[in-house]
Amino acid sequence: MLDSGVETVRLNEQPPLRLTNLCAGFGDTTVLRIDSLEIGSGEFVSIVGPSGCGKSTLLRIIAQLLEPKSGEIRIPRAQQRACTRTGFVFQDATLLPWRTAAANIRLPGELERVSVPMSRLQQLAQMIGLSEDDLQKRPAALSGGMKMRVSLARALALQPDLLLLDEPFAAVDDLLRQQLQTDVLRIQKDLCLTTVMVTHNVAEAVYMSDRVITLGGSPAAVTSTTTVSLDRSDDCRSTAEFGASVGTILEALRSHPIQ
Amino acid sequence: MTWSRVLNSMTAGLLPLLVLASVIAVWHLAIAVFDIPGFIVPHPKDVFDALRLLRVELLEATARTALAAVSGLAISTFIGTLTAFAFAQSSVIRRACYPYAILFQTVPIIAIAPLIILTFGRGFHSVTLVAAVISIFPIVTNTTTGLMQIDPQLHELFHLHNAGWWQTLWKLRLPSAMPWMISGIRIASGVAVVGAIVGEFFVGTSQPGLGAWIQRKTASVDLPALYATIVASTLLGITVFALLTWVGDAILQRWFGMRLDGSTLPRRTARLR
Repeated sequence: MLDSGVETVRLNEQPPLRLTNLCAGFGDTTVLRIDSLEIGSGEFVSIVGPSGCGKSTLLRIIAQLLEPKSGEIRIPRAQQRACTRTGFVFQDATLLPWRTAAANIRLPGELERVSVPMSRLQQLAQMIGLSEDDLQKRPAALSGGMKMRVSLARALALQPDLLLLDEPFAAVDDLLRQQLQTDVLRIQKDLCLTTVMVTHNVAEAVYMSDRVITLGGSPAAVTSTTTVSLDRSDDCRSTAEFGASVGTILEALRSHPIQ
Repeated sequence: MTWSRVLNSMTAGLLPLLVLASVIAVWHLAIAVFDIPGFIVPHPKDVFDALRLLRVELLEATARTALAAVSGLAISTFIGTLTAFAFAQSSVIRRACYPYAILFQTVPIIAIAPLIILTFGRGFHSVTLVAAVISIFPIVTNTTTGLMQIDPQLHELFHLHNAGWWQTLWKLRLPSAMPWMISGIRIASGVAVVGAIVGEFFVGTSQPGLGAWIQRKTASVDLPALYATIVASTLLGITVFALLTWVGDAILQRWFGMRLDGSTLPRRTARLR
């Protein structure tokens, strides 16, 4: 493989991800309108909003799983690639039950006909906290947290230009959730990965993001943008600064209810 | 404590046998008390004697019926699976053809069997066809359901990575539908045995299986032999069903780490490589 050495290119030189005059809906109804949204390279942005406000729709438009009714999307990609590679982590681990963890992580490579070498797999496993033994297990033999880790490893397997997280920790308990948040954040910073996360948990959004965007109203639109600068240690959750950010975002959510 | 445990493990195997013994006892008593003549209800002992006396011929007939049933099941599995794929692929095909698939389930096999034999002639092939017709429905419905109820998020994942039609089929839809398919084939297996016997009942001597035996022994009012044939038919049905359950479970455990009832395996077995 000629380009295997180039694969580890850092993405911080990339232009931002940009959405302009975006309009999404079904038939004649518009459920989502985004006038302008920019997400910088390596930035972690969270989208929060009440259930059914269209935040998952927005994430799927960015993933190009859904077609918007109108508007323009510009998604940056590594120079040597023909199209953007997106890593997507779903609400559930969404693993194929008949495949081992390792085979599940290899799936995106198989589908895109890119080989994921054993060394890459081991590197991923180490980064994400999966043991050699875990890699050989089927999902049925893994705990909920381990399944989420496999799901995350799968999303990172092809060195994506963009990581999208759709309420990724909604199905795990509190303690595990905090641990996964810390791990994902560390990986995201290490890889300098542009990341968009959808969540309904405001504290989670504040802890993880550089910027938190709220959606509200109908059709849903961006109602507030909060820039967060914290030291992201484990105790940062109990600081006044953290509480103030959470308060600001909750206030924005309250003032724009959806009908 | 320990006693109840021993009793438990013993009764698990013994209870069905106990029921069988009581049925035979009641059967015997009823004949004795009501003085029922042998040409209406044969004595259990006469049935056992018939079973022993005719065991070679009965075994041969059972083998013929088994072959016809299994061939019919193979045909219905093949055609049924293809049909299910067409159904899962297009809602137009599904809506247009599903009523006729139900027809296979509702039409009385006793009426269809002579028709098939009239059309295709007497012999093994017609019996196989009857078995196939009667057993196709559960395979079609189960496989269709299996192909259609795939986690939408998995579809999104395949879409995200630009998976082609074949990739989605081989790596997602077929394996996802496998447990449903296996369970459909298992249900169909019992029905296929019934279909083969009904078919044989009509074709007579050209396919001398259990169905032909039932027909012949009814005509000659040889009740002990008739009862013995019914026992053989039942045993065949149970054997085929049990065999397919075993094979299906083995496949699911080995490759899927799950069971037919949908439960996942405990960690120990799921670690199989």
